[in-house]
Formats: sequence, structure tokens, C-alpha cells
Amino acid sequence: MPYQQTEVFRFGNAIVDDWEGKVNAWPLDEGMIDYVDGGSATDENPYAALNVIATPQFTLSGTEIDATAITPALLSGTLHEADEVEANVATGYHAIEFLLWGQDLNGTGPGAGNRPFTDYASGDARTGGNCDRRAEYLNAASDLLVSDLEYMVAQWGDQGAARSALLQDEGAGIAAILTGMGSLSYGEQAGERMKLGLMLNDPEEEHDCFSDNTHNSHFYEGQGFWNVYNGAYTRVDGTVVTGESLKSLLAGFNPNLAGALAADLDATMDKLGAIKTAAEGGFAYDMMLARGNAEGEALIMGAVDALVDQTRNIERAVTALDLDGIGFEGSDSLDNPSAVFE
Amino acid sequence: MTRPRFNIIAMTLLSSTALAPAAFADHAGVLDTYADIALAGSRTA
Repeated sequence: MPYQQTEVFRFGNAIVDDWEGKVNAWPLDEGMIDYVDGGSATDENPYAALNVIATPQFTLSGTEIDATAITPALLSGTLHEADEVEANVATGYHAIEFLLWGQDLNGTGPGAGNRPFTDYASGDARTGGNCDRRAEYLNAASDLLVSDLEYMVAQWGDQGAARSALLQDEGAGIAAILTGMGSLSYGEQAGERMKLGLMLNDPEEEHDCFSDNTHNSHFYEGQGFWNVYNGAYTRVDGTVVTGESLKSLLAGFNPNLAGALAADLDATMDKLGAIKTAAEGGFAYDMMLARGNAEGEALIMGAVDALVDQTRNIERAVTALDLDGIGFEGSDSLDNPSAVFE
Repeated sequence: MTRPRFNIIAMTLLSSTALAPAAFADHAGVLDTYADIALAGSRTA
């Protein structure tokens, strides 16, 4: 939950964007990590079926790799984005998600990944082979994730580089906030993470495709916009961080627009909440993506449209604050849908 | 499946051309709040 609420800080803060791929890269060719159903190398990715857990020695881009010990350094320095293929995701939340849940082989039907716990067992109970190495990988990936998160905590600390860069200039700082909100709203969440998957009816395009936890990811990404705009964040222990808000700043320039954007963000949370409620009731996000599922399409497009609507008022806020010159990320799924199928 | 990652550099350059209205100087707390939320959210506990 906390991490998804920080995705709004990615676009607009180069330090966060440079780091994000270590912790949240997706989609991934999970066959590089462990066994998969029917996995094989592809023209795009010769390492799509490497299965490093079962392969202690291999050649990578012409170099002999000794992977007898699976360490954080091996994952981050050698395997992650191996051979310069972005789908070779070896680290972060989604690699760990795959190691815990395994592949979701249910398509757009009910059910998430169903990795047996015996994939980590010892003795005769073992399944999947190489259980010790799988556990070693999970430990290494988890240690690496914790250290990567600690790095980002330091960047936002009192003397941190991200905070210092933000505070250097008020105008550029406000521009960074709106850039982050607009780009995550429009191109990333509404486009790449939601509408694209619906257009392709492809469960591999859901953000948390192993665990079927996508409804929570989308909901808490939406909460991140709300937090930043309203100047308040509720920690997992229930305590609240609060202070002067972007909303109050905008209200000084255009109170009607400030209210309209607040209403937009509330409406987005209603739509994302409807997806979350439906998923928690058994109608998982990948089931919503099924071709011809009108109910699923309506739920997803309701949120997509709300995210696009809020982006329009974020753009108006940019103008109202005299910050013209900001650009937001786009997505073919929104801007040029025919290109998605080319 | 692979897809190009968004190029933040281009957007940062665009953003840096934004000029700060003088009124923003009275609202530096907005940036502090934003950074404080980023810090709190980045912590795992």
C-alpha cells in the first residue's frame, strides 16, 4: 500500500524515475528467473527461458556467468535487464511476486498464481526442483528491495538529493508535482496500465499478474494523487502526515478550478474503489479484461475516463499557475489506438 | 513483453523552463509537505 501511493513521485523527480525500474519494473519474462509453463527463448529475448534458479552456470552476452551463489549483486548487477532487454526483470516487487505466487495459468478465468509452498520445502516434500536456490533467490531479492527502499528514504530525508532538488526553485518544484500527477494519471495509469490491457484483452498486461492484486495497486496509485493534492498521507499505523497543500495554493489562483480538481480526484477514487470492491468480491481484475465482458469493461473504463478527466484539470492547473511548458506522458492506447494493434 | 520506458529527461527539461510566479514564494510549505509525504510513504513501516 505505501509504495503504490509513492508512484505519483516518479514522474517529475528524476531521482525517483531513475530508481523506479529496480523496484517496480514490469512486465517481465519470468522464465528468466524460474520454471514456467512452456517457456522458451524468443527472438526478442534469448534469455526468456534461462531459469537461473535451475542454471548455476550460463553464458550471458558472450560472458560466462557463475551463478552458483544467488546474491543481491548477481541480481542487480548481472541479471536485471540482462542483454539490455527490459523484460529481463530480476529484482523488485514483481520478481518477488512471481517467486511467491508463481504463474497465473488461468487466463481471464478465476484464480491467481498457485505456486505450492513445497517449492521451498526440503526433503521428499520438495516440488519444482532447486528449492534451496529458489529460497536463495527470494532472500536475495527481498534484501535488495529493502536496501533500495532505504536508499529512497534517504533521498527524501532532510539532506536528501530528491528533497534538495525539489526545494531549489518554487516554480520548478510545483511543476514537478504537477508533472508527476499528470503523467501518472494519463499515460501511465489510464493508458499503459489500464486501457492497453483492456484493448488487448490480455491478462499478462495486468500490473500484478501473478497475485491478482492489481485492484489494490490501481486503487493506491489513485490515493497517491489525492494525497499530494490535498497535502495529507495516512501511514500504515494510522498517523497522518499533513501540511500546506497544492489545493490551497491553486485555490489562491483559481478557487473554482481547485474545487473541480478536488472533485475529480474524489471521483477517481470512487471508480477505483468500485474495481477494488468487485475484485474483493471475486471478480478479479484479469477477469474484467476478458473479451466481451461488458461489466469488466465498464468498471475499467469508468476509472480510465476519470483519470483522463482529472488530467484535463491538472492541465488547467498548470495554466492557472502560469507554468506552461510542462508535458505529460502519453500512451498509444489513448492517443493513437490503432497503433496498439500494429 | 517489452515496451520503451518513458523518457523522464525530456520532460524534466520542459519542466525546468517553467518560471516561478512570485506568489509561489509564499507557499514554500507546499513543497515541504510534498517531500514529507514522499519520505513517509517511502518508509516500509
